[in-house]
Amino acid sequence: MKIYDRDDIHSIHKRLYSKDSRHELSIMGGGILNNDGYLLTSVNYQYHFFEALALEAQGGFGFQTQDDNRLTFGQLSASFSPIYGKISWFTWAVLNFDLYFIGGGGIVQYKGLKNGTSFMGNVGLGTRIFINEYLATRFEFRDYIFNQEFPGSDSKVTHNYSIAAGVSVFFPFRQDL
Amino acid sequence: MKNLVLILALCGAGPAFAKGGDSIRSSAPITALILDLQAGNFKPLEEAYFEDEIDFFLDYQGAERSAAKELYALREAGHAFEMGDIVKGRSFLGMISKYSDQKTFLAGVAEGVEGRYEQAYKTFKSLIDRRQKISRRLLTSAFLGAARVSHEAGDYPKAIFFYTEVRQLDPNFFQAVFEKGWSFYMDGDMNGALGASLSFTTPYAEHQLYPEAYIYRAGAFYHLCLFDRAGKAIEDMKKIFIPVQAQVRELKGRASTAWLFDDRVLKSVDPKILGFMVSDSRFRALQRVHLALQNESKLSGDAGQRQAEAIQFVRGKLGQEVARVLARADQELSKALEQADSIQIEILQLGVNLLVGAPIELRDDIRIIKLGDVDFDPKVQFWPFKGEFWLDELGSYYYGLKSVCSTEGPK
Repeated sequence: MKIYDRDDIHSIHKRLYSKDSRHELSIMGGGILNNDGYLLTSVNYQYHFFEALALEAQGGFGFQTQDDNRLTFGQLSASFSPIYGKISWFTWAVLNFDLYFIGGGGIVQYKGLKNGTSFMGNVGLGTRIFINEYLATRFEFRDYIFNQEFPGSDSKVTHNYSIAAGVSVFFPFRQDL
Repeated sequence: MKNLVLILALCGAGPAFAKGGDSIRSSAPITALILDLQAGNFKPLEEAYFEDEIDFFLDYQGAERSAAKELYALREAGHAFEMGDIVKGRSFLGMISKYSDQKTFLAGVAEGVEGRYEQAYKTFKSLIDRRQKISRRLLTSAFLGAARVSHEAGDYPKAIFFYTEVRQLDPNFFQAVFEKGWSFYMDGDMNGALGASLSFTTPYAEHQLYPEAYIYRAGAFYHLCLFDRAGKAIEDMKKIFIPVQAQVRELKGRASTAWLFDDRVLKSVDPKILGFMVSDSRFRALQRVHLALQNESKLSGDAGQRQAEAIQFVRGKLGQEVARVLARADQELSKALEQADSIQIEILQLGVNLLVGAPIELRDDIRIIKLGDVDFDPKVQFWPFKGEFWLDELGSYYYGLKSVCSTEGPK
């Protein structure tokens, strides 16, 4: 086996994929895993002020297939992505990804067994896997927290654990690197 | 006889081929181009030329008078400038009324050949500034052009900047890294030169024939007074490239038909030789055409005859090109191996000088950049190298060695 130099060597190069000063539009689908389960779909817009910091506006809709319960929500969140890296997919490809934390708040309207409107907060963790300079896939876990009224009982704060996946498109298409 | 058949083929456009090769394009796209040339169906020829680097049809007799005459003039202008024949190149350029971006690029090449580096740089930069409107291939050529004239003008940092713009998946990527290494070396940045040369020692460079990368690697170690490592780089280089040159010479002595189209023989050819052949744009284009012709459905009638002729024609051209490419490989290997011998002698002489106490001649322009002092842009990735090579890191290595030179000699 060949032994390579292990001197003080670094690889210094431009990021392959950059988010800085770009817009990101995502369409995501998934579900809330607890509270009898909801199917979720959302449209998310992010503006990346820096590589690591972005502001997100999200509009989402959730529904149950068994019951008639529905959620409609809008969220404004901040996203912080301090981790950027690459992984080797077997030996076939190098995948570039970032990890981000997200959190924010907004409003939710729930309909079904009981109707109401509430403040909603969200915290989560997600990852983007970059496909090319303008496309990425997103996988995300979020806890949507809001105060919900239930028939025959007092309102209570519910945690709604969701998992979602989606596709992101970055604008402008070409990176300014 | 073959030429006569081709002339007849070009002149005898019959009603059956009134739409050029449209009727057979899905099953025989390359043969279709020959019918397009006959019928003056220009659009597919233009697409093949610019999008797929296919230009074999321009070697058919009569192409210079056909609908593709401007493509012919464009290609010939490039070849003429490549050979340093400015007058002939300009004469061909004068025949072209379209392709303003390509003409601009060739004008830059001509200015560079004439030694008008500043003007050439401006010409290439005018293309680079229009990067959103020109093809990726032309943009890469403009990057390389700007880098080369900057290097020739002695503006090495600018050359390094433009070489770095050539992307990894580009066929010219290793060429750009190789030339960037020379720019680092000439700029006195030995750690940069060593970093560039490291890419040529990776498994990804198995198909690359750049013996001179080892020359500047050895030179860089030498100028940092790391003489043992300079000697080792030369030994490694000879171990790799002396057998390669022996095989190049053996192949040169054989008729191309005896090995070029035989997969079993090709498998025994050193990957570096195959890589060198494919890195030549003219050989690469013809090889792609040959492969595509072999994969075409077998045609019958007139079209079938054209298909058979095309295979013979392309094989003949490939034979000529492979002779040229192998001669160039042999020449480059000879030059690099001679340089390797000179460096080895110099290192031996240095040992003698040290024994007799003679001073070592040192370059006074060696630059040592401490990476820890450099502020990196957030858009720049900075990965420590731990012996693993990642494809996306190729061409971006940088050493952090310090010179051990002193007036007394190596420590």
